Amino acid sequence: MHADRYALLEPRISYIYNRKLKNRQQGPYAPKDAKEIEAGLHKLFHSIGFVNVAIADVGRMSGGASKEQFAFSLKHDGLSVAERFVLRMDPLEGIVETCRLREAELIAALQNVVPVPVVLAVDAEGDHLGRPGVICSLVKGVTAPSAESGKGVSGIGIGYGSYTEKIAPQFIDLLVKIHLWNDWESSQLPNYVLPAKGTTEAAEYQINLWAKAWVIDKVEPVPLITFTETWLRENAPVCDEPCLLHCDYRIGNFLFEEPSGQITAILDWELAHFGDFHEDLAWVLHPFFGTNNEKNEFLVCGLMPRAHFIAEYQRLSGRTVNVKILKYYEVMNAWKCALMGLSSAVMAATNGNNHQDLLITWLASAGAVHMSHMISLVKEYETLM
Amino acid sequence: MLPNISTRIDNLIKAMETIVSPAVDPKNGLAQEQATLIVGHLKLLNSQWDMAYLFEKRAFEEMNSLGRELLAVADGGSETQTAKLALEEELRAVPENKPHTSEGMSQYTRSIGNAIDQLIYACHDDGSIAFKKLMAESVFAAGEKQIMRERIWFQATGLDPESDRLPSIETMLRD
Repeated sequence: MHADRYALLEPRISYIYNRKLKNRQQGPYAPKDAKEIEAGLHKLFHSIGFVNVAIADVGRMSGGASKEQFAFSLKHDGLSVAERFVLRMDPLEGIVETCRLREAELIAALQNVVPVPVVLAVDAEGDHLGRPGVICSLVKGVTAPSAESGKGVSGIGIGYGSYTEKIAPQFIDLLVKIHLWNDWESSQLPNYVLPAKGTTEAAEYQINLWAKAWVIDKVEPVPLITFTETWLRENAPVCDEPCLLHCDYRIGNFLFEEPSGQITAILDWELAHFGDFHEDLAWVLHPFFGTNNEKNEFLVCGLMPRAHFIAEYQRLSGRTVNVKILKYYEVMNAWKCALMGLSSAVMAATNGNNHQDLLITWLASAGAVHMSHMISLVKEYETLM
Repeated sequence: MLPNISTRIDNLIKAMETIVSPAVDPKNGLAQEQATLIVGHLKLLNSQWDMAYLFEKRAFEEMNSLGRELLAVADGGSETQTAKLALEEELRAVPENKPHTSEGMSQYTRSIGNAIDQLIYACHDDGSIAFKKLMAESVFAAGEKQIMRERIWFQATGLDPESDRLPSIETMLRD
């Protein structure tokens, strides 16, 4: 195999993959308790100069299949009234390896672009918390209508009921705002790389990111996964204008207020990168995140029919969706869903290095469902030739 | 074997459902979820354990068959030739008397599969056009069979949107 097959990889991603390989020997990992979290927070806040720090009501948040999440109240000399914050912290290994520093940089850069939480602090290497973590303001809102609360895993499989009409237009509008954001050059994003315009780099960076994860976390060979990697390389489309992508923009990853239906925050930026806007659209369209309405009509992310989503996106963004490139990224997304379940999730559970080993092995068992979807998409792509 | 494995797994499920889960702090969401997952995994294990060896034996046979199919058509430059030889070696390393455990079978499935992976990369790099086409056909055909086996194997999780329409594990292993 060519040694440079994965050469085109963002340096920070390469760094965190190497860090993961080094750290996985430290396992097994046990979920952190409130006392450990409180002690780590004190160390972190002391290191950034907070004085007379008082931390209270540390509690684990539900969800967070890939990261440990805790809410807590904080008061210090610069904050006279206690406020609630959220800590997102890495387990030793998970279904996907991402970077809290990148996440913090991006959320800070997007403060006046789309609704996002405010970043309070980041512990990029886990020097104080024990594991890398980022702390953001706790934004008011819910991920699902209260009537649907507790259903589905990670918000998947829920419907928005009477909120659908209120949320759907905001959902598209905010995605367009992310894709049209062009202040990235003047923002502090040192740990991101922009793929070269008019090349296939946008696709290649992503193929390499996931293929490298497959290499370091492969538990057993799956020729179809390896072959699809080469298929993606051979069919990589040119991206004329790379833009910011959220990369996990879907049901369950934004908050809205009840009863107004106003979206208050877009969450979970851990996979964000610069690339081809079709990649984000393909993710939104993934059938795994959709639901059927009462007329048995499929709604993307439980919000609107596929054709409506694409038409509205084109109208608001001024971009033209290329059906073939969209299909290409649908294949890539199905491939990475299968890949992360069959490799990193199983590897983390095998090493006992996740806070939810049982959950990730349960979810990993859907790997074949994603591969089945992937084969159908490749066949559909071939008919578009 | 008394008490047998199914009985013991059933006992575990019963103990979880009637004693342990009700005693878990209702305010501890993680513990509640873990208790539910334990029961789910135990039920899944009970649907699988007795057929695990046959499942892995079939997986080996299919990987072995794919390896032989690719070996017969592999053609291309030096990388393809090197990967072809390595695959040939792995196929030859499989003993006539194979292990009678699922892990023992998996070991050979993995070694052949890893050699196939290298041949896929090599084919991408310098395989002939004809080999590339045959590679695609063979890997997709074998992949579809593998996918169906695994979907059936894990159908009890309910994560497959078509789980109701899948045949049973017994039927899959018989066919």
